[in-house]
Amino acid sequence: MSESLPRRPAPPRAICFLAALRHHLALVLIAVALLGFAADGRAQDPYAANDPLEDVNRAVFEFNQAVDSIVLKPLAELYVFVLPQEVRHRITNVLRNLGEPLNLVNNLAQGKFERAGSTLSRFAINSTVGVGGVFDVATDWGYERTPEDFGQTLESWGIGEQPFLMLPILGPSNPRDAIGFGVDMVADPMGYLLTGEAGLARSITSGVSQRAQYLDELETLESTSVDFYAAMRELYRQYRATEIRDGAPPTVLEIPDFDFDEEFDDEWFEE
Amino acid sequence: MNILISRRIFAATVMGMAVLLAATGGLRAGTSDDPASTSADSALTFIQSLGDQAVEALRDNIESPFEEREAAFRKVMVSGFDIPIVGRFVLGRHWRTATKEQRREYMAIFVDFIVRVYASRFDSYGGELFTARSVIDDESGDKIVRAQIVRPSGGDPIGIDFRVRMRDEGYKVIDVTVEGISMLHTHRVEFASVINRKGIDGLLSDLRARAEAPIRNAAE
Repeated sequence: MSESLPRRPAPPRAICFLAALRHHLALVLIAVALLGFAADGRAQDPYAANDPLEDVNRAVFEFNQAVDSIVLKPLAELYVFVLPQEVRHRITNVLRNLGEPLNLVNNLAQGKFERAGSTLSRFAINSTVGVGGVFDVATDWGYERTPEDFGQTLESWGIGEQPFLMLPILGPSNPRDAIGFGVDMVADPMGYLLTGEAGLARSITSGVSQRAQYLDELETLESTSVDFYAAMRELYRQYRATEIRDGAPPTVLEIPDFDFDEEFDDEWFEE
Repeated sequence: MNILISRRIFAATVMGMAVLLAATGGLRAGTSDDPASTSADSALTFIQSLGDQAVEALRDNIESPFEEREAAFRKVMVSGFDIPIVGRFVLGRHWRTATKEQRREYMAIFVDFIVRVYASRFDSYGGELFTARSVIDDESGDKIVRAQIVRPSGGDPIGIDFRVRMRDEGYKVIDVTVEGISMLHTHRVEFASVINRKGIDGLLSDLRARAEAPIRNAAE
């Protein structure tokens, strides 16, 4: 490279570091995901854990819980304490609007052209009439939100979830979604418009705002579950499956009509 | 550089689209939900009434400690749910390896546990508006009643599907799916995980500990 080429002023070192980190993180995610592929248990039972790396995953979960209680949860509580519901709602709207270009890319990659059209319309309407996404005018006008990510795109290309993975900081995942997350980070059109501090601010606000939405739910879940890790693992799976079905109701489980008219007896429950 | 030019084109395209859409977008306003199917009225009414009773049980006792709200909620839940079927299903194949005493003990604790789980969850939504919206006939013969909870605090409404089965005594709920997450399925996997590590007696003592644990008062 020639030194004489005109160059843009160098961004602060911290931002260079973060920009590099972003790409390294994507690579690390892909490497971890490949490990997961290698460990695939291929369980057929719908109730099987499919969690060959459970010991490691549980250790990472412990770590995440510690980080959450020290950093993320207090930040989320502060966010809820300082900002009224109305303001938080507007912030969520803005963040969602910033996510629309990536939704568009993934809708297109899945061949969901009608949803892609709706996404494009939403972005155009909410960015302008909705003042940068502060007001979700598009929903009122009948353009529904159609979120998609690259994990879902991979699923639509026939790549299943594979075994469960608990990622440090990022939380519950699997090889499909870990790769998806890495690709989304690099492919997000907004990532190229919002660089440096703006991009960092977006990531942090997004993390805190999402955590804030689940403050009560997660606390209730933790206090009422007998195995919080297993509950989170299962919740994540079903949550993702619902996103992949675009919100349609899940396949109904087979629940036999157990007969309880007699006294408890072994032969009732032969399946 | 090309990137700069393409960004300008991108921005211009977006602006152009926006103006067009802003001009025409109003025409698409007012897409409404389908009205509930009339053939499934009784299942819909059952769930609406059950939901109203549950909301009332929690709201009427809003000044009382959680234990009292839970007791009122328990009556509603025990009458509307087929708890034996739920409990048996959630234990899965481990039911067969359990002794008779373990089964009896499990069924007794499971009621307390499941009431605690649902009461705390609904309690945390707080003064909500509950609406049963539509019914799907499932090929299993059960009905899926799709309901929605709108929280006074704002935020997205919560979608809840109740799986309802006709029993001798009338309709009973056998599964609740919140935002696509089946409570039965989740509990089954969670219980299996505890049994694998601690055995059935381990599960029983964990369930008892959860059901009897003091709980923070969400209404305050």
